[in-house]
Amino acid sequence: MKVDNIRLDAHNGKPAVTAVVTWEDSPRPRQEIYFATLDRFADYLNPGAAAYAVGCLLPALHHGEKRLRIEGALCPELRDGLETVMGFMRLWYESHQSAVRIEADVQHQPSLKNTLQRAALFFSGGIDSLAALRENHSRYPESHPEFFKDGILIYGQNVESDHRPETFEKAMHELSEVTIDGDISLLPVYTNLRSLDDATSFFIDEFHGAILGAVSHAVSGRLHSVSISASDSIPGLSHLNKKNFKPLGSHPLIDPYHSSYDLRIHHVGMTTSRLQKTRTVALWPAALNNIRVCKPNWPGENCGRCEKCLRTMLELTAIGALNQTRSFPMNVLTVDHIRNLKIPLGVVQDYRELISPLKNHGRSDLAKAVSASLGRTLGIPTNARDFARKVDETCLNGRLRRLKQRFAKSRISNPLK
Amino acid sequence: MKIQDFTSTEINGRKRVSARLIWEDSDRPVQELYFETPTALADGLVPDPHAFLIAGALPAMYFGEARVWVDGPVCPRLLENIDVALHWIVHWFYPRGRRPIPITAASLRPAASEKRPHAGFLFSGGVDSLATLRHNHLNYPSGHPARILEGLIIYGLEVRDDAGFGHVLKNLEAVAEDAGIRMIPLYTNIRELGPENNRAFWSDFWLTNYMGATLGAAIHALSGRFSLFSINSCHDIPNLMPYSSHPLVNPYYSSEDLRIRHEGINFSRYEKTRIISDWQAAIDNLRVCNAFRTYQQGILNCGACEKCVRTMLALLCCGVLDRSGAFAEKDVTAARIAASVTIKPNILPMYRELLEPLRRIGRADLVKAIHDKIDDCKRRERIEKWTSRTIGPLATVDKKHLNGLFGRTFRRLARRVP
Repeated sequence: MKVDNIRLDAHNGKPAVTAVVTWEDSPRPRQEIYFATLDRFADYLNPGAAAYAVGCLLPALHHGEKRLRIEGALCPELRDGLETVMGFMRLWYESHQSAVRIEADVQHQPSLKNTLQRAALFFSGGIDSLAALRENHSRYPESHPEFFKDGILIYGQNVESDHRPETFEKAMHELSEVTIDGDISLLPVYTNLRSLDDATSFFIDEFHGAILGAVSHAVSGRLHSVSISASDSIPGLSHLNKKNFKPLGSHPLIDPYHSSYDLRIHHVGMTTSRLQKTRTVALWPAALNNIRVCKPNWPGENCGRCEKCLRTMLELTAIGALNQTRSFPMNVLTVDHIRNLKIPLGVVQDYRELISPLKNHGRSDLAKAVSASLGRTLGIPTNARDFARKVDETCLNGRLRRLKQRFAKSRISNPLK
Repeated sequence: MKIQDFTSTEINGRKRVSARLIWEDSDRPVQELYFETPTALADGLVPDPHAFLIAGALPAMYFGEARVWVDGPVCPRLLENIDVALHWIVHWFYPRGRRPIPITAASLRPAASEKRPHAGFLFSGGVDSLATLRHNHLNYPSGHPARILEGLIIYGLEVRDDAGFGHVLKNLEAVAEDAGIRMIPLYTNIRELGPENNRAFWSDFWLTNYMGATLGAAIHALSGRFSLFSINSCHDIPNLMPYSSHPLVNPYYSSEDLRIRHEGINFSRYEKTRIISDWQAAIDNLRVCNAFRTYQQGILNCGACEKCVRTMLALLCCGVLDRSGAFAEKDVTAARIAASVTIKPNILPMYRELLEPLRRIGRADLVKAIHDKIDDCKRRERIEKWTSRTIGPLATVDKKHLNGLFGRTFRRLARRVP
């Protein structure tokens, strides 16, 4: 893969950094990749090689490119970090057998801009980023260089959700209620970096952190530090056991290695669980009324039906705050809403910690329903039927199930019925 | 635990910075923790509360203190970071449900308005450490603020013998001079935080939970000098394991003004040996042997322990063992491997990666000797697994409910068998 012609330009009338990406070993089309922002943030744009090195490496690795040749000079610390990122990806995904050779000039000196002391965070309006902002502003004095002053909102990353430009503009307008109250400026970045490979599994498992890293470098003209809010707490990251990690695109073993000497990238918020973060958000009215978590609709309105909406509503119920928010279409959650809830394995920890607080808030019905869903996900029987199914699978090798299927088939094929 | 009375004094030609650690919940005496350097090199040695906080937090948790309170200004970045480091250690090594102890400080320290960038590294003289220095100097141009200019060698952690430490300094001086860096010896009594005869403390706590923090503390004692510091990793990416010195722990001993990097996870031990193999000063002065009481002038490696033999094998694969002044022997024999090497699971990958290079240089005898040792290792592992599944639960019941009666009787009987 080659990245050429990195330059400051305009994209759809907005100031942008653009470059041409050419695949060398994979039969994929040549692409122009851009990072654009609004005129008032034009001085944030950094036309260096770092954004493209971070953004292109993992697609190149994923598609078997032999090298990544970038026009321009790379910070030696970032170059080492990219080798580390590749190391973890190759450990986690057996398909990535051969490493990509990184070819770029060495940056002899860091740029002088690190005398600027300005920190930002990625701000999606979700629980993690709202809590990270609140936590940061309570921890650091305003004069401290790590006090967040900008919230970066990306357009072009979540192509699976509501991807319409008008939804993004509306969300910008609505989230400004939080950013004004939270004393940060909302910095929108428009990018087509995901078009290098827009498969959902690749995005979640490998590419997510790199996109955030690339965007950080693209707007690093006025920043020395960017924070990425962790979506998993420490026990959640050690998903299999204490030694092994759940591989993820955005991970504490990945994100910090996208840093250069000039720009530190932090993975923050992994010491607090999602429920604790929701508690932090619930104490901040502007945030509580502007939570955006919906998987299919983000950054638009929350649907109140998808798994992530239901999870967040359960959390708000568990802390007695669902009836105080305008963020969801309903203010009361019933068992019917979550009867068919399918809990993905990766967020089991988030649901486990809800059971006791739900009971404490007098919602034993919801606690029971969550336990049942957890049982289904983890294969633990929670009622007689599940128990019989489990016994059949483990002791009878599925004979009862097969018998039932045969019986059901014979009923369907019986012409007399 | 209260951490207070940060002082700076001069004692016997050394500058000492110290603080008092007062135990509140644990029945332990007040301790004075110190860090010293020769006065001529003491520029930047400051009684920094950060150093004593990092040194005190994990022992406080281990000995059951309810809190850590620092009577001095602490950087909010460090407060945020150390909480992450403690969370990882608790998650890995403490029972489920345990949480890190809260840390509070008398005030928050503002970030330095201007600080001269200055990079250092942990200069132990081993393969990991020298590879960090070599890789850094090959990749960071002269004048770059991340180029390593100074190496810190600590007395009181691993090496605790004056004569032995003197020999180490002599060897490292030669490397430092060749690399154009300055060497700073730092003396500390941090080991006094642990009870000398408590085996559980040294085997379970010191190595697995605390060692990274001891290094972090020593580095922060010199926070007036360094803005960036590298700790050398002993594990590469495929072999990372929960450990006190880990990429998820060491960087979290950083403050806003002093960043700590965990370096070298991109390279295996053999790759690191290759990195230093064309650097004569390094292969002449390498120190890998941990038997510091046997150090002599110019001879730091016994050449007979497992670690020495492993390093000699790697140098042999690189074709430089015969011109390395660090070892008396210029070859490794199968008999030496048979006599000296016991492969444990944590060092198994380091031997596996040597098999192919040894084959390439035509040393089938050594390949066979290593294979025999690997087979031994696997056999032991199988037995251990079987034992932990069978005898393990029985031993637990014995210990818990029978006060170890069966265990004692069994050992008594075993002693009588000739």
